[in-house]
Amino acid sequence: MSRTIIIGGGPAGMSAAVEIARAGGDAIIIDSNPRLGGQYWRHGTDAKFSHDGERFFALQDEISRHPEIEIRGGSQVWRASYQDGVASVWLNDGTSLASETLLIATGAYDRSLPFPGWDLPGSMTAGGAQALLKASGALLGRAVFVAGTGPFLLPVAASLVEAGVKVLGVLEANRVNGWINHLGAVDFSKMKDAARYFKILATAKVPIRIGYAIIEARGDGRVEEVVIAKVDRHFAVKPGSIEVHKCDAIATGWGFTPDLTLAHSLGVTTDIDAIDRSVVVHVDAFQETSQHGVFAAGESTGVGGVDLALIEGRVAGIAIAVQRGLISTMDAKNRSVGLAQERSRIRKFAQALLSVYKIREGWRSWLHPETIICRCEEVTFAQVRNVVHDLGASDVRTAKLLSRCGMGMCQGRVCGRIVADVVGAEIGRSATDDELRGIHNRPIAHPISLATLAKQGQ
Amino acid sequence: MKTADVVVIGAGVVGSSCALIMAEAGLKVIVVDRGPIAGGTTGAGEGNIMVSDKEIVPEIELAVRSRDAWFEIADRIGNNFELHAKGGIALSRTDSGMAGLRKLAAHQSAHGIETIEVDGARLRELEPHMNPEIETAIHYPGDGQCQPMLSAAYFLRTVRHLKGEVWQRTEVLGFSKDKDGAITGVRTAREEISTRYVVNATGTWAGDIARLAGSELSIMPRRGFILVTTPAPRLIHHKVYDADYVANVASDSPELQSSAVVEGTESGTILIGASRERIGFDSRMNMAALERLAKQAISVFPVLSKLELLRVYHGFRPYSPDHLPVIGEDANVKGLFHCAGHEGAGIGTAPGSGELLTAMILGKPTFMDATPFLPSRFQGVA
Repeated sequence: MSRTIIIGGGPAGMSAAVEIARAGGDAIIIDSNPRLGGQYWRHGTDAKFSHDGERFFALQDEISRHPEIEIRGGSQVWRASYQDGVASVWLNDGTSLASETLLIATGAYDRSLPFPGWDLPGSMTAGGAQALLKASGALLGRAVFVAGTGPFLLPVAASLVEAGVKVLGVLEANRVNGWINHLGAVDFSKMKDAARYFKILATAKVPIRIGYAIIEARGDGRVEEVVIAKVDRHFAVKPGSIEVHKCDAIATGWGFTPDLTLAHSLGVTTDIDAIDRSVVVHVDAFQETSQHGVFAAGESTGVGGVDLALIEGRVAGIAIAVQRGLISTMDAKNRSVGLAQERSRIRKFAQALLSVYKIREGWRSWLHPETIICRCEEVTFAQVRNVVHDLGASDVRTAKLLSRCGMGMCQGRVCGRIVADVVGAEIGRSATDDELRGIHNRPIAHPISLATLAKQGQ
Repeated sequence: MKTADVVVIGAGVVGSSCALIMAEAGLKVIVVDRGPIAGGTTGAGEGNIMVSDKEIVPEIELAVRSRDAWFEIADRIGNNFELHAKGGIALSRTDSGMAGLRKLAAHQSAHGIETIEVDGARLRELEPHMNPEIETAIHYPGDGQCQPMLSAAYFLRTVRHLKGEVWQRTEVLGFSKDKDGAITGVRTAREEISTRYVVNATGTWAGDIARLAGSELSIMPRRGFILVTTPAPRLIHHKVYDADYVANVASDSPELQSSAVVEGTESGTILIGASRERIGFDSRMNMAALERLAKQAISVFPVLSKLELLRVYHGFRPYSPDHLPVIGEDANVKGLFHCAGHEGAGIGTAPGSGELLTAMILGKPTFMDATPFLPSRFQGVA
C-alpha cells in the first residue's frame, strides 16, 4: 500500500501523522503554508506563539524524528478525485499523488457577514487580522473595534492589545452569559489562557459589550468610523441604540465554517449541521468517510476546536494504521484508550457553543441596497434582489449565474453561504441542503497555472 | 384550467426566444420548465453568436438572420445581456488548413457572410497577443457574443410583461389530444393548460418530450468543457479559433475532440473551449480534455501560460443525426412543434428559430425555406 496522503498540516493532520508514524507507517502531509501548524498554530519564521506552543512543538518534534513522514509545505491541492478505492490529488507544481488511504484535515475558515462598509480597506475578518499579526507582525490599524460573535473574538482582541493596538471595544452580538466558562474547553485547552485574555483586555481597559454589533463602517476610501447598535436576540437593531465611533480599522468574526472543497471532490457523504447548517463530512467512529480509505478529522467533520481536532486526528491515524495492516485491532484499542469518550464530550460541548454563538437571521436587516454582497465581483444586495424579483431566479445557482455573485476569485468561499441565505430569504424559503452542499462544489479547488495544466498531459 | 395560445416547454435560450417572438406577435404564451430559468445547456455555454463556423447553406441562412435578429431584439427590449459584435477570427497553421478556410470563406461570402483574409500585420493589430508564428487568418466581423443566461432571463421578463407566464419547476406530465390526435392541452405538475400549440424547446431532452407525446425524436448529448481563467485586463478581443473546430463540429466521431476557441468576457475572465465527446450525460471531469484545451489555447495565445485556471464547467450540446436543428411540426402529432437539436449553435440561432416557428404556427411565410429543418426528415409518418 502506498503512503497515506494527509491534506492539511494543522492539529488534526499533525496528530494523525504522528499516530501513523508510531505504527511504523509512512505519510505525506500537504499544506499550502510553508510550515506545519495550520491556521491555529500559524506563525512566522521566529515561531512566536501567543498560546499553546508546547503542544505544537511536541508534535513537530515527533514528526521530525520520523523521516518517513514527508512534509510538502507551500503546496496547494488544486484537484482531488476518488475512483476504485484510490484517492488522487493534483498539486500546483504539476505533480500528482495517489493512495488507498487519505486524510481530509482541511480545517475551517472564517464565516463573514456583509454589512454596509465591510468592503472598505481597514475592515478585516477576525481570523484575517490574527493571521496577519501571526505571519508578519503587521497591524491592521491603530484604533480598532473587534466585533461579531464567538469565543474567538477574545484572543484576537488580546493579541491586538499585546501588539500595541488600541482596541476600542469588543462587541459580542449574542446575549451570552459566562463567556469565560465556554472559552477554555473549546478554543483553548487551558482555562488559564482565557483568564489571561480577560486580564489583558481589563488591564488595557477594553470595554466588552454583550448584545452589540457593528452594523456599518464608513469612511472616505478606508474605515474612519463605525456605527454600533444594540441588537435583540435575532440581531435586529434596537431602536434608539445607534452610536457612531471613530476608529481606523475593524475586525469582525462570525465563527468558522469547514472547508469542504476537496471533500466534495472526493465524493464523500456530507451532513448538514442541525444548528448552524454548515456542511460537514459524515464520518464513522473511526473517522472514516463513506469512501473506503478516505478519512476526515478536525473542523471538516464539524467545527469543534483544537482539542477535538487533535483527538480526531489520533483516531484517524490509528484507524489508517489498522487499515494498512500496520497494527492489529487489539493494538489499536490499546492506543485509543479514552479517545472516544473524550471526543464525544468535546463534540457535545462544541454543539452547545454553536447554539449559543449562532448567527441570527436579523443581520440581513443591516444591509443597504448598495451594500456589496460579493466582494470579488462587486455585486450589491439590490442586484441580488433584482435577479430574484425581476428576472425570476428561483434558486441559489440561478441567482449566482445571473448576478455573478460568488463567481469571482474566491469562488464563493467568502460569500457562498451569504448568497444562499440572502437568496433563500428573498424567495421565501431556506436554502436547501443541496444548495448548501453546492457551495463547496469547486472541481478546481484552487487556481492552477494554465502552463502547468498544459504540461500535465505530456 | 388555464388557457394559452402556445405552451413553450423549456426555459433555455431557444424556448425563451420562441416565447418572446410569439408574445410580441400577440400570442398568449406560457413557458413551462421542470427546472429553473436557463438551467440546462443555456447555462453552460459561451454565448456564441457565430456565423463563421456555418458551412451548409440553410444553416448559414438561419445563422445570418438570427445574428441580425439578436441585435433587433436588443434594440426592442434593451441590451441587458452583454450582446456585442466582437467579431471572430478563424486560423489554421497548415497550408491545407488555410486552403480549406479560404474555400469556406468564399462559399460563406457568396451567402451573405462578411469575410476578410488578414495577413500577419493586420492579425497583430486585431490580436496583439497572438502567437507570431500565425501569419494569416480569416476575420469575420459579423460574429457576436452574448451572456446566454441573462439573455434567456430578459427574454422571459419581457414575455411576462406581455402577459405571458413562466412556470419554473413545473414538470410536463403528458398531453391531451382530440379524436384526430391533435394536441388540445398540456398536463403539468401544476395544472392542465388548454392549448392547440406546444413548442418542444427542451434541447438535449427533446426526445423525452416527443415520446411523452407519442412520437419520437433523436436528439443526443455531446459533452463539452469550458475552462475559465482568473480575471485579467483585456488580452483577447475576438472569438479566436483554430480551424480544426469547424471540422470537429461536423465530425461523427465519439472520441474526445478538441480545438482551441478562445475569447475574453466582460467580466475579465477568458473562456477556453471547445471539446466534444459523445459519452451520454456523464458529468465527471475529463483531465485529458482540460489538458488539451490548455495546451491548444496557449499555442494560439502564449500569454495564456501566465494566467490561471479558475473554474471549469461542462454542458451537453443537443445534436441531431445530421447536425442540423429540428424546427417544425411533428410528423405524427398535430400541434406539437419541435425547436431543438441546435448542437453548439443554440444561442446564436435561437431568434431565427423562434421566427421560423412563429411563422409556421401563425401560417405566415417563413424568412427562408425551412424544409431542411423539419422533423419529418427523421420521422416515419405513423
